[in-house]
Amino acid sequence: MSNTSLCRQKLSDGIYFNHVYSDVAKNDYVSVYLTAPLSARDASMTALLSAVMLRATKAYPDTPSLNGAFMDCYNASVDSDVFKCGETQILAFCGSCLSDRYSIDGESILEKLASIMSQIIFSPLVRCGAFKADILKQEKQNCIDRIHSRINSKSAYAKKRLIDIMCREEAYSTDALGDEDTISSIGAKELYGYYKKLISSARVEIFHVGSSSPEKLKTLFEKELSSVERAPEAPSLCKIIAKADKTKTVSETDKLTQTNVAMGFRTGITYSHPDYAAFVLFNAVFGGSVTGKLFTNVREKMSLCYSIGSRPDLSKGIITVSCGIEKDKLKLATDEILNQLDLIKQGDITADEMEQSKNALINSLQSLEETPSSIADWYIPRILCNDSRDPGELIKLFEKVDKNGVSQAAKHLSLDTVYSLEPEKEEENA
Amino acid sequence: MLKTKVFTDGFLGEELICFSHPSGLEVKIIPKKQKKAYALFATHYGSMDNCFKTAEDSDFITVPDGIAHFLEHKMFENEDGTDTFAKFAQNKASANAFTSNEMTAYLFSTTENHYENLETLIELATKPYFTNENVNKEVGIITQEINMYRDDPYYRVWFGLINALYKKSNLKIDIAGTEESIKKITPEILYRCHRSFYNPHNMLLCVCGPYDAEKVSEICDRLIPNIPDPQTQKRYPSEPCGINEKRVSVSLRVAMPLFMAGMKDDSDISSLSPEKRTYRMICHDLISDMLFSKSGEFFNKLYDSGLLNDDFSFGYNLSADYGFLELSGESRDPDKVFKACIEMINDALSDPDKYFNADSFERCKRASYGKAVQNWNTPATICHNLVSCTFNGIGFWGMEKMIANIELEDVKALFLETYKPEMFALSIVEPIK
Repeated sequence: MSNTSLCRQKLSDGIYFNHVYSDVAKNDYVSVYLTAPLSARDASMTALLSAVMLRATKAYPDTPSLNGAFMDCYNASVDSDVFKCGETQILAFCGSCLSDRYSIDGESILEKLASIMSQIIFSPLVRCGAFKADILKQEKQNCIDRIHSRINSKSAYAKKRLIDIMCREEAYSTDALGDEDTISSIGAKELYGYYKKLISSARVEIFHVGSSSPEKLKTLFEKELSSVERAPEAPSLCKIIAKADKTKTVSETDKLTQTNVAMGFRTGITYSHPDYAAFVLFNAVFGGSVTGKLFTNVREKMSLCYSIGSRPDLSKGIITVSCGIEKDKLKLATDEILNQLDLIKQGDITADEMEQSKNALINSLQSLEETPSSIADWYIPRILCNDSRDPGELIKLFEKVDKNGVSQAAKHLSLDTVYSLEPEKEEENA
Repeated sequence: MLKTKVFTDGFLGEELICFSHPSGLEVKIIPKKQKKAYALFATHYGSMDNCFKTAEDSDFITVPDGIAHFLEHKMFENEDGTDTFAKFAQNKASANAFTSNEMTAYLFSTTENHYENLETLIELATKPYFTNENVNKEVGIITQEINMYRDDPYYRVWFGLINALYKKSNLKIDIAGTEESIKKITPEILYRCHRSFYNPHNMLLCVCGPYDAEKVSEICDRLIPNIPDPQTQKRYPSEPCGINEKRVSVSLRVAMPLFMAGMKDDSDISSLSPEKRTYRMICHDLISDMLFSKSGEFFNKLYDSGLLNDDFSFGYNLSADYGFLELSGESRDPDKVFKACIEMINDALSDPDKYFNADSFERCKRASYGKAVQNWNTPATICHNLVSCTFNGIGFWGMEKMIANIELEDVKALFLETYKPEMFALSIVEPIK
């Protein structure tokens, strides 16, 4: 039996356990999310914590012993991540292991993974009320390197710069990875103090997706959290701007071959908006799939790019379009992107485009069950935005959306910012 | 009555059904009760295969670089002007394709219309349509793809390693070709390549999902062209022993240096049986785990001294007739990392028991078993692994059981036979000054 229906249970104030039974894959997935308001200093603290906590624990006092424990657990893994959902920062610990039914010696692999994750989250290695100085120093440098290394992926960097500029006056522009100066200034005792505050005040969402029994995992985390003095903070609200005042255009140059352009639109559409379903289908028609208007026109008909797509952030009410093009084709490409949007606003959508986009959307939802991590990744932003609908419910909504609905949803878009990262001019030879 | 070979594994809960279709096509089916299905239709033709002849040709022809990839792009366009992506989408499937050094594959995933989509997949790869107009149009798109990879430091560091390790091998040919080479591609050359390689005798169909072997065979009866084997011969340059260059570097817009170190294995593996090649591949994976894993001394010493971070990864690439080790990551001083690696290899060669001991072996075998089981995790991973292993002469079925029977002495012996410091090279992408 397999499905993507969520079984959600409140363990105590601000602590939830979410379970999806799935025996499709051969692994179990456990993820723990701690939420905090997105603010400049705290973002750096959280980013640094995500690295430091993964280095050593009470039971595994150095990295070799912790990594060895993963290998002993049939190549289990635990990674940490920091990301944004609206104007909330999330510290995530994501673990994966073979499902219990594949254990050679009959022991529960999930229990072992849960025990290691519990160590990482609740028993990080601390000496005299502070994280170890050598670990802190190493991870500060690694966190700073991670911020700088964003430039390695030009497309991702362009999207990041778009948000920096578009949302300059909003908490949303705060980098989930923090900033170099703040990270450098954080002390070992201060970081541990922040850790204790986070464990006490954060909303905690625990996810298990898989076929192994989650009872002992749930009991273990419940026990750990019961020994924490909890004072959960109310979730922070995200500032939603429905319409852009005017369009900003910013261009930067660097030593590159290709121009990367990112266009940011305000929509005001979030998970709870009445036009949510129509808007999601609009995105599929526009640039969310290989049958979308951007792929078939900007790429296939006009040969302007290889990669192009649109992606909404329903926690913030914006949508971005990005592509990689030749420098002298920038205006041609951005004009055509806006032209395709206008066509949708005017209702110029064929029956085939509607059907194919709907099918692509439905296929992607029906495919979620294939990997446990994609089920958790799909649910978590929705849960944090108080949208409890499951894929089955959404499929029924999408099936009812018509061409007029898509066209009306498109009218929510207003262009806020166009950012381009372009190749520097070649120096003329003397 | 369809003649099939059936393999079952009760512990893994997997079944594999294989048959040879009268057209020459090999078919592999992994039946599943779940609705999610994945199918791969692949030809054993990739970027390396630039020189070939069929039985009808008087001589070998050398074609422009990037043609296998170009062909892959064009196969989605049809003579009636329709796009095959749209047809898949109409039947609620999501399609894609890729080209590698050795193969080109077309694929779809779906939860409905399983047989309709399978028909579309087969027709996609067997009905070419190339014109001057549609070829010229694709040049613009692929040029942007080439430019995208030119700015991609992860691709560039890998390509640098290949050029450092190999002197003449066609692994050095860029899969997408170059801006200049793709302008030389014509409809005639594309048709010739299609005729030579997109022949059932050179292809493999792999489907995973609620599929019945008889129904799949019936679709093949209707849609797979019954054409003679063109007896295509491929010709590759002879690769001399030894590496090409010890160190290569390129400057790009990156925050800190990226590196990829590697070791070329000049052993002759082309005549190994699939079983022996699989055993060798598992042993190589265990060797690299025992030397480079994140629980080991090499990684942690360099991490603590700030020379490595968590982005470090490694692996052994084994195909039908080549093999090489790769280690990659970011480092402020890749030359120091490389030096430390060579020092460790020399130390291990002089005292192998220090590195290849029972405790480390059991730990790595346990991890290896976990990785092998997870190769069966999803329909996509199953199909990709099965097709890749088949084309590379590696036995995918039963790999997790073979791991249990690997002997430490075999692992040690393979290390002593294949690891040579003089066969190591380093590729670096440095930040532009």
